[in-house]
Amino acid sequence: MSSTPPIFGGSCTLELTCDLQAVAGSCGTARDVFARADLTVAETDAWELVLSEAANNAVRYCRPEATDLAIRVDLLVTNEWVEVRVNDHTAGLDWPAEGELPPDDSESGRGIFLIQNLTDESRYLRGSGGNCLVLRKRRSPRAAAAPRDEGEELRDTRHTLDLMTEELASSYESLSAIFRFTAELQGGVDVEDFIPRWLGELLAITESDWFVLRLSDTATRRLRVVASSAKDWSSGPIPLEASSHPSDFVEVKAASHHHDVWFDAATPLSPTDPLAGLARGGCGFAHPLFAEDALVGVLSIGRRDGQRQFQAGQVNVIQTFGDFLGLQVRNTQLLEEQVRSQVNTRDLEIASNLQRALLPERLPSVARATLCGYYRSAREIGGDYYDALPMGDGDMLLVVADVMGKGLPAALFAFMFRSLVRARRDLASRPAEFLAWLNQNLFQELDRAEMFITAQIAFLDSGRGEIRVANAGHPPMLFASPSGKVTEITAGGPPLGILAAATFDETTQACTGARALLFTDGLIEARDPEGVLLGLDPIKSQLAIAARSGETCEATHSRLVGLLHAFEKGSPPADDTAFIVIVGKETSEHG
Amino acid sequence: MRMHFQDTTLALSGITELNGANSAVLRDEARAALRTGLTTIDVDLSETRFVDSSGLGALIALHKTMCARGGKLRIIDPTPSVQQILELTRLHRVFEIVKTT
Repeated sequence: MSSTPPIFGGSCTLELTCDLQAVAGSCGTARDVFARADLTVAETDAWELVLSEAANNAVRYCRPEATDLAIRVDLLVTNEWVEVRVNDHTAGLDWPAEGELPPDDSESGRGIFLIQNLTDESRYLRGSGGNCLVLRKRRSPRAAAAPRDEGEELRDTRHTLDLMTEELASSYESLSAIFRFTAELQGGVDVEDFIPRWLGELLAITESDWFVLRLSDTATRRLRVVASSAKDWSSGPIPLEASSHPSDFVEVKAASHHHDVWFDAATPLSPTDPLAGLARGGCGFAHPLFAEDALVGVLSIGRRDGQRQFQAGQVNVIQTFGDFLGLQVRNTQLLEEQVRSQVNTRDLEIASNLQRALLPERLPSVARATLCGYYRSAREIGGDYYDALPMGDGDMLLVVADVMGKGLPAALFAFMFRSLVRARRDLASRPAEFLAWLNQNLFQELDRAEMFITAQIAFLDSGRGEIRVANAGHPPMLFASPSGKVTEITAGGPPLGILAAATFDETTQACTGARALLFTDGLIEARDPEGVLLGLDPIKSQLAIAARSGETCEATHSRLVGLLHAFEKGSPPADDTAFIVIVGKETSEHG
Repeated sequence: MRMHFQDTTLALSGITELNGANSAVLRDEARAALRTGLTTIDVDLSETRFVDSSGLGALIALHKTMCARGGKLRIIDPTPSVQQILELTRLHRVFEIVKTT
């Protein structure tokens, strides 16, 4: 055991080797300190027992790899309080609110009971590097009533007491700050906003000048700065693997060796160390933050004046704060991951339900045309949508649209689009006007969400035997004449949600005996296993063959599905794919 | 620590402290000294200024050893501070405490 000379009157730090004999010896030293501070015999006896119990436990349950570390015991006696802190390197324990006595024949298990019964307060602060048992008891009134003599000796004593009170106040402050912050966190405070404030307060409590907090990114194995008190300092992420940089960066060293790494004038930082600019001429240390053996990050803290070394109590406060912060950050990360995965699952479920509800169960048929639709959703939910609405007199409205983006937002906009289309089917015969109206009514929401919709509206005019088409940034409609000539109908206009006052062109095509194909970009962007895009040409070729053969609408549908599958050779679709085949009839079935 | 035998009793005395560093020794030496016909261990705590929970544990261990042999362990003249610890941990109900003065 070694002991530092008392800092002042009733304060002392003892460093014990991890050995029960050392505990017995330190109890004797502590008795002397307590006696000098004028504790009663009963108080001294009680504190001796308390210290013995706490230190015996620290020795008995010390982690095997930490037995060569000193067990530090801080004693602090003021005129009102006695405080003892025992720092252990055990795996830690859940400190009970009220320790109970074991069965009468049990040979062990009375230590915590004794400690709690002989002190007013006991708190066990658990950290990754070690734990601290903080024990306090109010002194008996005899000592508290200090005489009012103004002799020199007493003035010294008073000064000493003032100093001690100050130190006690700072440890009080740190403890109460921790509890205050805990309460705040339980209220669901955003950790990102909270960390700089908290660490700012830590600087004040420990009289430090700067801090840098890096958190560990498990995916990239790097330490990224998330908070720093230094306005004119910045540093990119540093890899945890030493192969890519000199391994003497203190933050990396602290993280990989699981212990504090100190720097000062005697042990300066490497000139290339990211902290070198901050630490120049000063002193400080990097403290790794662990939560259940997982690296959370590294807290570095320092003073500009290298002569002002940190005191043991201040180091203790920084370590305790840091460890507590590490746990909070880890807890928040876990909570976020949990919420995110729940949201994602739920989000996809809703989007997929919405999307199913969007598509017509069965495409209608009209006198002058037959229709076949195809829809395939990619792994993620997209915003593809098509619809076919009979309009009376054998007319029909055909709509195909693709909302940019995926997931719930895309599905919601597709749903909104569908509702608007269905609400204004009176505009069906004038596709360009219809698109303009849709754009006006969706613009604000799309613009705010930074999304857009490409769409194509086609009106099958049975009476005139023609189809009128308007397009808002959508892939062209393909139109194949009975002779096999394929035309891309690209009547122009911007996607919906891009220009508030967009106007759209309209194209008219004779459709008797012809076939048309409306589709979303998932069709032409289908990929083979090498990643090559299908493109428009193979589709046009197949459509030409279909038109010349005069095959049924279903046959053309199968032909195109066959083309898609043969091209992809089983590679999974990256995007939703939708198309509608329309085959015009030569004459009306109803004459 | 001193040990002496008197009839069927093993008497332990001269104990100034009973703590984590020496209580296991006391327990083991006392057990090693047990011989046939011994029915009582008297632990004299009149010079004992300090007992902690490991000391209490050693006393309980010897108490259990004696009970198993059909005997007993007695505490003789504990000092006030030790008496207080015995009462606090309610072990005064377990041990027979004998005051000779």
